Amino acid sequence: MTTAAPVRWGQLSPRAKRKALAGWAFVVPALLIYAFFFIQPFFYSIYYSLTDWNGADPVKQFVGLGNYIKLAGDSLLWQALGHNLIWVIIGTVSPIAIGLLLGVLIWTGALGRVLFRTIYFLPVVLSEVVIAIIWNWIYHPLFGAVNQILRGIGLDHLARGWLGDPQTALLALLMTAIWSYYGFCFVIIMAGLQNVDISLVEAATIDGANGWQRFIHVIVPQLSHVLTMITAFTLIGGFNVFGIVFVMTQGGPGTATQVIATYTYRKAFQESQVGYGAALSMVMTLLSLVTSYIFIRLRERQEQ
Amino acid sequence: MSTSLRHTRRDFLRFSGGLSASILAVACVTPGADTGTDDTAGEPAVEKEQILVWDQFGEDSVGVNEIVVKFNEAHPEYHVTREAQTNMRDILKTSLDAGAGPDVMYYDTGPGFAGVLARAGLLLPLDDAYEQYAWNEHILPIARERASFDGVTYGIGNELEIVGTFYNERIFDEQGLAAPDTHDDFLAVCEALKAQDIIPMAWGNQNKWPAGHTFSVFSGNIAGKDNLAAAISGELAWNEPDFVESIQIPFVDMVDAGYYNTDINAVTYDDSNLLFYSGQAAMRLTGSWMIDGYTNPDNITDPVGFFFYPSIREKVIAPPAGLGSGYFIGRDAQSPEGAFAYLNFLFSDETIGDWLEGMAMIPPVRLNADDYSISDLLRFTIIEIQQNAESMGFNIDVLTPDNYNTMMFDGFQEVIGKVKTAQEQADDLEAAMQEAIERGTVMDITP
Repeated sequence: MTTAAPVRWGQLSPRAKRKALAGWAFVVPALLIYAFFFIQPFFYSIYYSLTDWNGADPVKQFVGLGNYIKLAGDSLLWQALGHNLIWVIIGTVSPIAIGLLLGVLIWTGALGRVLFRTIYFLPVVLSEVVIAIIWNWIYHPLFGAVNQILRGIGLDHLARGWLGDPQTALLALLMTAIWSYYGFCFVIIMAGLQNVDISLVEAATIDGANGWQRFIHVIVPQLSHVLTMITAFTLIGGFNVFGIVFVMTQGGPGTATQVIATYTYRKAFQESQVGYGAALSMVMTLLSLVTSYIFIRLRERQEQ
Repeated sequence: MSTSLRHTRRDFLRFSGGLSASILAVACVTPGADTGTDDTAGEPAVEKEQILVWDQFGEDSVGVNEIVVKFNEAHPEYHVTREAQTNMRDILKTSLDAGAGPDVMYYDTGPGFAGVLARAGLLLPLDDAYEQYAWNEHILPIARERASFDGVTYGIGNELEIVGTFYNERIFDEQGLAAPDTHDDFLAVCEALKAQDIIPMAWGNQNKWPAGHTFSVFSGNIAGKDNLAAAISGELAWNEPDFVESIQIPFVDMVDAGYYNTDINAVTYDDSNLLFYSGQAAMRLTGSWMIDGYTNPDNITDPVGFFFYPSIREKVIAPPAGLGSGYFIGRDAQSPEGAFAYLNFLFSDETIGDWLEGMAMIPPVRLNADDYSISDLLRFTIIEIQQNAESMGFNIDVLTPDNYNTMMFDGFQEVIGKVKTAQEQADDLEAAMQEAIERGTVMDITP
């Protein structure tokens, strides 16, 4: 394989130069917007994380790594991190597993394919706040559907304030998140399934592979790129989760559902510790990046 | 004949340029909805000084909108535009710092809120305005004290409020009960109601902050006004036995006794009001800001009475009283004089009726309740505040630093949920106060 040698600007013909400039003209605006709204705030956040700033004072007192040292001994951060890890594990595995299962079932020729696809995808088009409000009603201790159903089938003892009980609040939130996200996984997996080589599935059938074996050894490997992408997205989303938690429990009861993003919000905006909040957001960013990088590298190595 | 559908890049640019020019031309000639100018026919247009006001009353607050209309009519040289903000705590600091904030803002008066803005130099000192407009003569001293930081006044506190027990008079009559005089009597009332399958007290603490009011009631009645003031000022430890007991009684003992609805941490403040409105619960421990709701026949048809939470072990009661929020003026206000005039108008004789009759809110001025057409409950509240101002306690969360408040709210949910003991919560409150002292965010309210 050969690669083309770089061409100098002066060597280009006028037509090629115009073409190159036109390309830049399309790229630069998006790049500027990205730099202004993402890169600049990112570097500002790094700077703020090195200060003790309340968000209002004109003077931002430089404290070096003070905020990061304080983070190490912050028990609430570790608790929030634990909740994020639970969220990442359950919140990643569950929607992908559900999406994969439903995707394969419908791909194999279920009737009403378009109808099912629409129904499963519906939660994805709802905003996070709307979803949170709907599920707040579903979990409502006085008139919520979950408790009504439990009472209706004689399981009164199981009815409870799902979001107010430290034992159930995080799982209840996770259920909401899974419901809101599995449709996205389903649609992406459905798209991936269109590229699955049917002849390989048929060959496996002729060779005597049962349905489970065809699924695990023939279909899933062909979906590996799709699954890698969804998993990476979900992992990052798991570390950044905010909306559902904030609207439904504000991190409560107590700190039972506090995650890093809500804890960051609390510190930066409710307690006016913007410097410390910025340090927390850096931790969140770092965790998302490192986890996603490790996962993608592992997948690549596995494929090789 | 066929027409080519292909377009060149030049066509695209030509179309885009033409469209942009058209939009610009239309924008230049279309009249604005409200230019804020007085363009009475035949007279030269007078440029009005614009005053942008941010508050937290809600977009459709008829009473506040009425005040704004009245001000704009009475002051042709100014034009107030009111914007209701639901997330003021998130955006105000940044907006003011960027010079894009409001001229006048209605914001929390605590050291963690307006105090932060004042110390950052983002608010305009109002000491001269107090003199100029003689506010000291009719605005209550507490409204000035609560909006002063480091010896400088920055605002006017508003919404005088008290916290106590509202009760359903019909239920009390039917059960042969009377407003209790002591804590033991109160517990007996709760037992009697519980025996009849009536929820003694509706309490929803999903929003977290209602617990702060409960704690304010019990710590005022158990520790006393002076000790509570000392603790708020960082001069008395929050893990003293009186404060531990102020947590133990309402958050542990009364929960265990079943004197509230179940699932306290999962029920919202609004839903607990619904339990009270529907007659499922007989009492509500909350603030006078609910008077409007409790006297509205659309919500509740039963008559509602009020008593202060009674004495515990024969101690003198100190029911929480204070101010909700306050009006402040931004350092970079476009028209400081206009902003002063607006604040002056807000608490003038012309508007007191709007606050009282229109919104059931008590403005921080000297007034005679009999001069206004208001509910008996609101009249009773005004008279109580006027007669007992000296012995009233404090709404703790309005005066304490923000880190203390977040710890307090989270911690009380944990105490209710049996994750934490009363003693542990008291220790955590003290630790939060020490952190606030270190950060210099504690307000001294001791005499």
